[in-house]
Amino acid sequence: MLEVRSLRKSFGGRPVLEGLDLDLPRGECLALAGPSGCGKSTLLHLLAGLVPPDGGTMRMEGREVPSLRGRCALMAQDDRLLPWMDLLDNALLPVRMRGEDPRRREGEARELLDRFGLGEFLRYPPGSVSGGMRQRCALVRTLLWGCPLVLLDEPLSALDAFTRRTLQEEVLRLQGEWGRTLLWVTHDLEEALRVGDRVWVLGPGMEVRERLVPPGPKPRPADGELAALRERAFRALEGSRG
Amino acid sequence: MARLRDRALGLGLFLLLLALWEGVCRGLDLPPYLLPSPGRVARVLLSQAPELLAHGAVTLGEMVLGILLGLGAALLVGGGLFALPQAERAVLPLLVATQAAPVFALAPLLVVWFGFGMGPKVALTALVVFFPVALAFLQGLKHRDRGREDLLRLMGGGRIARFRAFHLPGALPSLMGGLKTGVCVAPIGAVLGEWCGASRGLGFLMLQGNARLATDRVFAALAVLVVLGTGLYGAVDRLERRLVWWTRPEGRARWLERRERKGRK
Repeated sequence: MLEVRSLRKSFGGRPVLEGLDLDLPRGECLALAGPSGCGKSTLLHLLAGLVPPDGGTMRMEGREVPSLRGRCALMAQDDRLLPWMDLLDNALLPVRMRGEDPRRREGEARELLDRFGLGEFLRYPPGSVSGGMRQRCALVRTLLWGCPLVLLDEPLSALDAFTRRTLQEEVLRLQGEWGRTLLWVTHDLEEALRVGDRVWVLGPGMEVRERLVPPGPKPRPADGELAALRERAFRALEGSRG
Repeated sequence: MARLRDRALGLGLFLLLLALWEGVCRGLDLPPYLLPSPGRVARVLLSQAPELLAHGAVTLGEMVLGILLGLGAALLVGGGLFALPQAERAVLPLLVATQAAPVFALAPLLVVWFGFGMGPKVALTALVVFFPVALAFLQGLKHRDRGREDLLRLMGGGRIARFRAFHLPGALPSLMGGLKTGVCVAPIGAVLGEWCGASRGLGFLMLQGNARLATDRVFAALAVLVVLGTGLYGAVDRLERRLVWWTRPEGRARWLERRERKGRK
């Protein structure tokens, strides 16, 4: 679905991305895990066309494109809901922004919000519900966005550990139930190992230190095998520092 | 409960100041043309109430029209400068320059241009209201919320769609703050206009009282003006609570209540 070749970006002469190659087949979840400041979010901004790259190519469904703007949905760490709209209107925002009549998709939006446990809160403003509920609403908004590729920029890192666990499963429903392709960026290695079909461990300059393929169905429990992979990933990162 | 306590505290402080003022007048045996006591002003307020109210209505009309005109111009200019950032660099210094010219100097000119009717009073009020509101609106529109803006851009929203869904509601808190400042200075414009030539209005009453050393009448007119100004401020405050409901928990609760009531109907 997505092929990226030799993607480069530097800010003020300091390279952030040094020729990254990435392939993402349809329906897969690739988790990119790396420490803060390694350039993960920059990669997503480059892909989304919010920042122009210095060089490199992107191909989507075999066609070369300047960026994925209009071809991908984004879910970020902060829910980015508009505080003056209720949850239903927030979920329908991509529909409205495309210039479509939101009333046509209202039934679908209500059903989705209900499925994510927000049925009783449709008319609540974001400021009156919990962080987890807001992020669930952002999830429904991502679904109504309608793009087959979803960029996830640390979507759960602002949540408490319990809500995070529950929401990992719900975000994965984007992939399982709705067939979306996910590029999931996180600084939490454990989360990456729980949710990714493939996991790349990244060092500074987005250098790929480890490419892991965790076994078993997702979200995976943090069992012995996963713990061993986590140790391997940490060693790869520590090695780069030394 | 806390609100009631605050109001009681404010009223108590006001009464205390009045008592102090009354005490000074009586204690120093000040002549009423120099400083009339609050009791004397209150008597004028009661005995000349119909006249004061009639003139007050004229000034109120001038203030309301001026505020609406100033607000309308501020929305147009603020919105226009936001839509054309290149124009902002050229126009904003000019706007600042117009504010550097004292409104007192402009008042006689406006009388020459607009005559002795309501025109110059409304124009002067609009002039003093315009600048703080336009500036606040522009700043509110320019407030960067990169994350949300990027998200809407990614959704494919055009400039107009983004302005309606995001920039305009996002600028409302700042706009209402500017309007509150504007409403506070609106009486300056209206009264100044009346001082430069009028046969009605509280400013006219003040000048008349001043010329006859009827200081108690000046104070009575001033008291009506203060009540009108405070009332206008209160109205804008209420409007702000209604429009910018999402910034306070009680505002969100009330908004939700209204939505639920509407849903039941």
